[in-house]
Amino acid sequence: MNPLDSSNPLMLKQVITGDEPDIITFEIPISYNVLTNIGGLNLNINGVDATLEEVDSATNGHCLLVWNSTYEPPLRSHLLQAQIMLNGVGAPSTAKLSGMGQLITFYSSNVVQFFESGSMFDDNGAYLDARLPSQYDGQTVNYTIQLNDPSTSPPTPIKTITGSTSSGMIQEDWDLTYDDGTNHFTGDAVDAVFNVTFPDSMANLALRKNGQNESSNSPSGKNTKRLNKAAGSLTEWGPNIDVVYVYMPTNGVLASSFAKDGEVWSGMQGVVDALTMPNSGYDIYNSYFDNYTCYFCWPRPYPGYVQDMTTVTNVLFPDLTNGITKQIYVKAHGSGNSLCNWAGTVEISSDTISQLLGNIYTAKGSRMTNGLNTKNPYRFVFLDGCSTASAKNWRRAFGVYPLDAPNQAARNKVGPQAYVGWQKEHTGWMDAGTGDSTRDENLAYAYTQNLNMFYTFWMNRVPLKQCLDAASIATAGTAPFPVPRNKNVTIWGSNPNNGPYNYPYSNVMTSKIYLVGYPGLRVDGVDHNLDPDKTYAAPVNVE
Amino acid sequence: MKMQLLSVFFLFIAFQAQSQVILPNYDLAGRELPPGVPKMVDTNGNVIYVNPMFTTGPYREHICDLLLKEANQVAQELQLSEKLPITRSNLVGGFISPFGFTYAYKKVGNISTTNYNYGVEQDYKFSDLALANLDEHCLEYRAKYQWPTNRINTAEAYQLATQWLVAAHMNVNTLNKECRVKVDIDHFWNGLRPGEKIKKKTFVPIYNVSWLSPKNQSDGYGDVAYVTLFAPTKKLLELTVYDSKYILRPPVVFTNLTALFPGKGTVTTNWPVKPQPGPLPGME
Repeated sequence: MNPLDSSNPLMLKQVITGDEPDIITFEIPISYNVLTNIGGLNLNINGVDATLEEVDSATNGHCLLVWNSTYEPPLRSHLLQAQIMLNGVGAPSTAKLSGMGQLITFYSSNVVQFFESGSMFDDNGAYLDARLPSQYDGQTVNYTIQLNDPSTSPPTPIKTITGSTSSGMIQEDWDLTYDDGTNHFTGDAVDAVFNVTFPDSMANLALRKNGQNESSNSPSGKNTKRLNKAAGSLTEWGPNIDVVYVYMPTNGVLASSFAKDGEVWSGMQGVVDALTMPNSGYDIYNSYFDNYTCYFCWPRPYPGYVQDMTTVTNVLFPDLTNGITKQIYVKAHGSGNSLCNWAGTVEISSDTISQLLGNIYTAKGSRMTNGLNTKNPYRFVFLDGCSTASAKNWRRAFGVYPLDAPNQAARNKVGPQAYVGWQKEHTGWMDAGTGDSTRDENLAYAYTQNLNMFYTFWMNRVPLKQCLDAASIATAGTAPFPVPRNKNVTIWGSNPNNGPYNYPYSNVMTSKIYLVGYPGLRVDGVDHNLDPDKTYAAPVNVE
Repeated sequence: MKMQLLSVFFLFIAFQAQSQVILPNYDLAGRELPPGVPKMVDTNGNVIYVNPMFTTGPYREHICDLLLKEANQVAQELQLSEKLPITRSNLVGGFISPFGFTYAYKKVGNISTTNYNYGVEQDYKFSDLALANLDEHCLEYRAKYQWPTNRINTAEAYQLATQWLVAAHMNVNTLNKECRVKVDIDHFWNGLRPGEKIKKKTFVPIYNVSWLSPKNQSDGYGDVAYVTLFAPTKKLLELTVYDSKYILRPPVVFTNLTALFPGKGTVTTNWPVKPQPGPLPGME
């Protein structure tokens, strides 16, 4: 589909809902029911996935693309287009799974830009942050922030904060008190209305275009952000971890290796042991899902091999939501919004995780939530499957906030976090299919050893970025992450059962690893001097 | 058999401190291994691989004792809020590296009390300290301490950091001589992006004091040592030295490896084997 072709059927037709100018709604002439069965739809802003958007059903059955425009740069034109994406787990690498719609121009009359972070508050207070239009950097801009309680009709005024700034940023703290400075607000949601008055007439032209207030000397405008009180486990800090893996090969090979006491099972058990087995009588991480090696204990060792949905729904999901599990590793076939085994008999979607954990992301401010609201944020998530970092779905489902990009201000109510996933499809060392069962077994086991190394570095307080570096290097006995540097790689070592092996490859299908969050994250801290490192930085549409 | 690690660990160029990758050092010159350790050797008898996950229970027990000894010394030197002596009954967490991993990467492990985590992670030397449940403390500090920005005092933060480093027998003089010192308020807990200057009227008094090598400065990220502290109570939050050349304290010493690895381990001798080209496995 040519984005410049007027006959392109994927066209954006704005419909007026009354939520403008903050919320912009487009109708797309595609059946909502058909779309949700075959894939998804998103809105690109200047070629990048919009920060806050969602797809709803229109009354005529078509799709509605709902876009919260206050999370994009204000007072400027944007190029918009819809993008359709098909579900593609297991599709051949040459498959075309996405198409672009017509390009249209859209002028944003917003006066501030909000950020995904800082959409929540707790008993200690709230952060009221917004970015002003860049054309006013260095100029003094006056503002008021009117805080309203939306639970009443009309909304009840709580407090007005007045200030000015020349830094291009509005940053205010609110201690939850009313205007009297004494009484505390106890509600669950607040609307923060940012009223901005610009210093000159430069903005008049822009504001006039959209019918907003203007005057010859002091043009002004307003945008509203909904903040919600955290209702769950606001902290990302917790002692538990889950290790999960599923059957990866396509044709039944290595079934015994994946199954109990097979080589893959043993290798993954090593990962669980590294993370959870008490050394000399004390705990490391804990897990209520996996069990470390302890042959005289009950329950028996369990490395997290999941073969059916019963285990997922009855055991894994409750464990993920217990409020203390804050770390997870999953080895599975993947996509931007699902994880599964090859047969598709075990499947977990990002939507399901999002609902279970209460880490809800919506675009529309008039609803219960606005942006990413985390009730159960995780600290460290590694989803080891194809394309798990090709979109924002997974990191949002686990409540992981991005490391802020330049010119963004954001302050979380959680500590540093990290999400690790893969950009696209890649060779899977545990996927078998070489036609040589010994080679399949050696490669799969070598990958489990690489995971052992990765998590052993992690437990030794090595920053996450360096753990990824180390596990991307081919060393004896390990199959490294198939990142671009390993397009040509030799997997060598000695398998306990099969003896030495030496497999040179020159055509590995590789993928980048993306790290959203803090590269300097450590098992019990963070090295902020690694924050500027871009080795694994995700592009804007993923972060 | 005795294995005085200090005497043999300077054979190779320091491997990971300032590099972007951490590579194993199997020490082809022959760091002595007891016969109980399984290994792969080349045709000349050089050790080229020890399974990084190989370990034994007695080894873990022995290392735990060594880490306890080191933790007690550090807690005393830094006058940390610990009830001394720290004993096994005071431990609440930690990680002891498998012997094979320690042999390759010289990272021994760490132990935790309810107050601090103590790590021996660089060249068998104490190198890491972190306040237990660090984020929870920082969240509390951020909620309760908003000081006016005219109270930002980087000189005091630097002084505290260097006092702790000296007390822990880190070579501050050489750090200062070879590295650039950077003292900042902690940007995360102050809601700042990396490198951004504070624009608010108040700040959270958590500081980072870092030493950046020329390579770090060239790369634009990383450090060879850093200290994170909370100024109002002069509390040490994190202390890390990545490069062992700045650590003056002696390495922990293993003296009884044969007893820790009894018996005779498998020795794989038929390496190298001929390359075996073949097809790739499937895609994920």
